[in-house]
Amino acid sequence: MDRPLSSPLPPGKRSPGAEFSELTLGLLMLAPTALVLLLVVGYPLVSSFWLSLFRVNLANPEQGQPFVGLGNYLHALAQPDFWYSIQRTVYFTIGSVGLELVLGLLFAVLLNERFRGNLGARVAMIFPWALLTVSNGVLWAWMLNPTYGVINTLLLRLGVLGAPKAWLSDTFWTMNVIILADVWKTVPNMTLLLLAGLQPIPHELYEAAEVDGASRWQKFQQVTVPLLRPVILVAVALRTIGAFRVFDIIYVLTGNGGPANSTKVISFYNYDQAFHYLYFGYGAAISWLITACMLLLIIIYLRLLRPDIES
Amino acid sequence: MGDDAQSDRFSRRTFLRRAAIAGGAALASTLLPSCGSSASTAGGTTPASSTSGSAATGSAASAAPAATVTTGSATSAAAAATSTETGAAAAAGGEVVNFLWTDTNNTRQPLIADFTKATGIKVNQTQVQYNELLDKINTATQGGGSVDVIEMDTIWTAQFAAAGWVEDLSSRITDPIKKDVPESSLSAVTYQGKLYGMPWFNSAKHLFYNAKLLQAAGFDKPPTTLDEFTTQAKATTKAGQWGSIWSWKQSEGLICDWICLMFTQKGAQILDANGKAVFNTMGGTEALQWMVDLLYKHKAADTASLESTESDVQKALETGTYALTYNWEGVLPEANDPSKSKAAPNIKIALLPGGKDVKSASVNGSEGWAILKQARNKDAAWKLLEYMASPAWQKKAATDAGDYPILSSLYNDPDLQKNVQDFPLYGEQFKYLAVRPQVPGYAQKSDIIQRHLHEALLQKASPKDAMDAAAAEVNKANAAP
Repeated sequence: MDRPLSSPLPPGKRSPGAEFSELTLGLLMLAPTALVLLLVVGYPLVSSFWLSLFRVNLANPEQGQPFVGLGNYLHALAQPDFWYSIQRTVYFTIGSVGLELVLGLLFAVLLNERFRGNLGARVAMIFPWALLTVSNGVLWAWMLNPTYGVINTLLLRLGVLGAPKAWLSDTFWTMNVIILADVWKTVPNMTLLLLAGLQPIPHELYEAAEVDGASRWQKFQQVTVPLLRPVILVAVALRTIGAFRVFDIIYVLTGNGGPANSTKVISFYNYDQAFHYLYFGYGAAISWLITACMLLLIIIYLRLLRPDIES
Repeated sequence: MGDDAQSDRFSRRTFLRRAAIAGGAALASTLLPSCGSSASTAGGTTPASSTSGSAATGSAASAAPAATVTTGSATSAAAAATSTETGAAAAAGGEVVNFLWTDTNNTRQPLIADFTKATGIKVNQTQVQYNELLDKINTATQGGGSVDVIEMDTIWTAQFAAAGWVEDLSSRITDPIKKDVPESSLSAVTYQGKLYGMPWFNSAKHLFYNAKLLQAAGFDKPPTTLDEFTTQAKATTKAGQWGSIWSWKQSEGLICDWICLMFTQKGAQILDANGKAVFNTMGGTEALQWMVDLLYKHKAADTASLESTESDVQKALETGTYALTYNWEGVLPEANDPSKSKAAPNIKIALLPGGKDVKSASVNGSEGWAILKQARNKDAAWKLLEYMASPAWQKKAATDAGDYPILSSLYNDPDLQKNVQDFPLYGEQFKYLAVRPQVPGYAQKSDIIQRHLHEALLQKASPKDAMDAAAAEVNKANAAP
């Protein structure tokens, strides 16, 4: 083929063979991916939604699997435990993403400066992200051990603590410590995103602001943040969805949803119902409710992003 | 311009036509048998990677298992991910049994080797931490993994039997075998009068104490009642030292300790004959009150108990700075080994304290092995169970792994009495055991009680309120979603 498709030819005069091969080739190349997505994402989505409409209790198979329509969903919404788990999840999400954003912004701005060892600093910053979440959890579990953990030893020596504190037995502290552990691991991700977002901001804008007599803080507020807004929103949206589904670090650090269920986030509640008690239909309904929550969050973010896209 | 518009329209139409063909082809291919079967067995897969056996390195402070289960959003419940560690096909010529259990320290491997030598049957093992075992069993039975024999804790017998996952072995476990096995062992694998497994070992909680610390405080005998326990624990608590530490993390270990304390009251009961919760009025509240007082009024228990498991308790005992602990068997050889324990050789075992009218109260933690209904070669699997119940295994397991035999005759065996420190005392404790309720849905009821116990232990609720709330919730849980 020696002529692009877009060249003006009289209708009917285009050689059908050429058009067929390029378009169809493209679609055929997409077909394997479409197939994989259908099997791995499409089928489970439909199957689990179908499952959520039945009462399926695998531990009592003699009860059969009656169709209950939206019964599982209504049951979930009527459980105080379900709402409690949602509340703990929202707390974790806001805490984790909020802290990550603040720290990420700080680190990104710092790493954007030119200084000796900048490259080393960037490499060092990535290390926590390279850890497996489970390894991260085990690491923090050791550090937080009341008797021989490093955190208690340090705080005792510094005089901040009077006696060794059992961090993971405290309903207030356990969740906060888990947020800390999670933030430590995911801040690099946020930092990198924001750092990338800082690159396109031209120096001339800062110079112009300086000429107008702006302080560092004002430069940050008036130049950096507005131009970084779309990147911040994307990063926060991604992280929110990830934080809402948190499970592994909680499993490793508390095993069971924490002291008196204080870290029983919604994924953990789902895990208990579906995999411990074997209420599969109910578990499927809960996962769809979690999905609905996240869809809601995504819609909110898209609304917030729209002015930036349109501009 | 018109020509361009015409050609655009033409190409759009063609595009739509091609897309329909390609999409239809993709859809049609999903209905092909080969694609369909792979989707139907696993119900599609989330990125759920359960790493079997890769337990936390060494032993994490909270003994937390290290299984990564990433629950996706809508796909988590539908995807009972097939276990990936299923045994390989039978080796050429020999039979193979796939076995799922918790021998993560490999102390019983020589026994498995002996079995293979004696029968020629190879055993493919998957070893996981106890806290992961139930999940692995659920996955294997739901996802159709090829597991034949499983380790089955007493608290799961009712659930597995009611769900139809395990074989009824009543006809295989004949009288000659049953004669030498005590009632308490058999009850661990019994549901509605039928036997669903072979008891593996006898297990209960015992009192492990540091004799040196007690003597230094003026006591030459360990406590025999809860009041004596409080006195001794208080006396041995001072700077850098604690009278006691417990496994009161929100987990099954908390229930076990609570039951040991509850049954020091004669007539204590957890569920009545109809499955209704009665523990709040029949011993549970008093036991919880004692626990709370020990922590906060007498300050004789380390507050780290609230995040400790039994292995943390054992490690604590081995530091030599704790006087009294409740723990399962298996503590002793290691606790008195100077290369592993700072408390050696002062650790001794005694009967757990009892109360008025009750000499001692402990909880049955016995386990059995069960054959899954989905097992391919049930006869080979039965041979494994039979060998395990024979004196050959039971005696060697007692000396090598510290397992307590199910065969009563072995408690009079002179070799065992010589080699295992205080052997008869273990046999004695097995006479005073409380059994956890053998009801399906025990896992959920236990979780409910654990959470309320923990709330009271954290002083978020009074013991009475916590126990009443737990009873109400347990009764509601009988009407499952």
